[in-house]
Amino acid sequence: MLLKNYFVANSCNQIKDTLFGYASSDKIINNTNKNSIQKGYDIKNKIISKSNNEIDENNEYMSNLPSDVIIGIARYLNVNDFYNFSRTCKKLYSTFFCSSIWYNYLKIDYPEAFKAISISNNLYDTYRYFDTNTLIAKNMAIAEMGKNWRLNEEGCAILTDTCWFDINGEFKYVTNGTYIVKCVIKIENVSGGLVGLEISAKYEGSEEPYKFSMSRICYENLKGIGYQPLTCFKIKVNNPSLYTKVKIQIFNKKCYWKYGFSIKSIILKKTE
Amino acid sequence: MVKLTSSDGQEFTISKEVAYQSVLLKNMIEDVLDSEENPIPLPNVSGPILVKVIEYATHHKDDPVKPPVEGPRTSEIVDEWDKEFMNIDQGSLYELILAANYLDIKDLLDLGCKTVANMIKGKKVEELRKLFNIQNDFTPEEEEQIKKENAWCEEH
Repeated sequence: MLLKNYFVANSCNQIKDTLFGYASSDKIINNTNKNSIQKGYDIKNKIISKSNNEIDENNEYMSNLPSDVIIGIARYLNVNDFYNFSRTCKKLYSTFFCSSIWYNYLKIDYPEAFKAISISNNLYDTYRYFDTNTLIAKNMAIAEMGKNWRLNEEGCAILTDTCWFDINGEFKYVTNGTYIVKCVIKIENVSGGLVGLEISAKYEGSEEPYKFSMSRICYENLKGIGYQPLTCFKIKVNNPSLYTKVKIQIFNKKCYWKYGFSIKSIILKKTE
Repeated sequence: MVKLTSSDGQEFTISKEVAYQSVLLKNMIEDVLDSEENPIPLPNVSGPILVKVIEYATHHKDDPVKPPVEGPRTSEIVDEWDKEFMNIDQGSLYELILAANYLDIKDLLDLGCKTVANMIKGKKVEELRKLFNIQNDFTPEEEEQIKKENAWCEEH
């Protein structure tokens, strides 16, 4: 069983822990009170500048914050910083999967996808999916980048002029399921050298790679209409490990000169 | 005027304007007619922390109501007074956040959250444990498993 599921299943206990957290904070407050009684209620002097931190030494404060405050803190952190904070101890890690937190991250980082999400899903999984299912051109390995290809300001790779090309992309965190592979590409008024462009996909443990070859009809349909998602094939990932790598290759070795081809991203779209 | 009693029995008299910064107090005052005579007990807030809270509410009593923030939020604390106000030890910060949460003073709670977020930013797990004095209660195997399950988070 995934450790994550264990923590999600134990979220009820976590609420109890949070309540307990409140109780122990009362204890701390009471201790402070005793101090102030001894000091004859000299509160103005009692407070609490960084130089006077005698109650600070051996107490674990931040891990005892109630979960609604943790949600508030997460709003000011990116996913990586929040992840590092969450895995310091079990109590904080149980808040890590809280739906409100991932709801906020989805809303900010994936506003388009956010409109269509179903709240009943595990939103941590939903976020991870959106975070890992798109590979943008600047993160692909493109042969002769800088020479026959250039990256524009939007991170799209634009083919300048070549007679062959080879693009490799890797999705690292693919969970089991069926996905439609889409390449977001743009074909401008070009030579026919792109007909026969081949797209292939394989994942760790797959026997035969999935293949797609661009036909003349497909090429004509895409020509001159800007960036379009080209649906290549459906792949079925079934691998015993938690995450599987899916490798996509786009290549064309036929010796025709080609230009006017751009690629923005490759998307794995989960499907039934 | 409104009277408040902290958990340690200290009495504070503040103006309604200041008290209204707290949604909890506002509701209490509106529900109870004679809050000027009978002090409102705050069993969850100690004297020293209540002093801090009143200091904050007094300073910000004339602030216009801020519209809710949509989209990404910055943890940067722009107001110099706020920055200086939050220059406190961790125990006080913790209690102040709990008090703001309990009294329902949104801006103060936000300020507390920002302060903690700024302490967290850019730090590694071990650095955070040290900073916040957090005991690592995972076994090495559990830690490995967590890293594996969330490896994608580290790519950010």
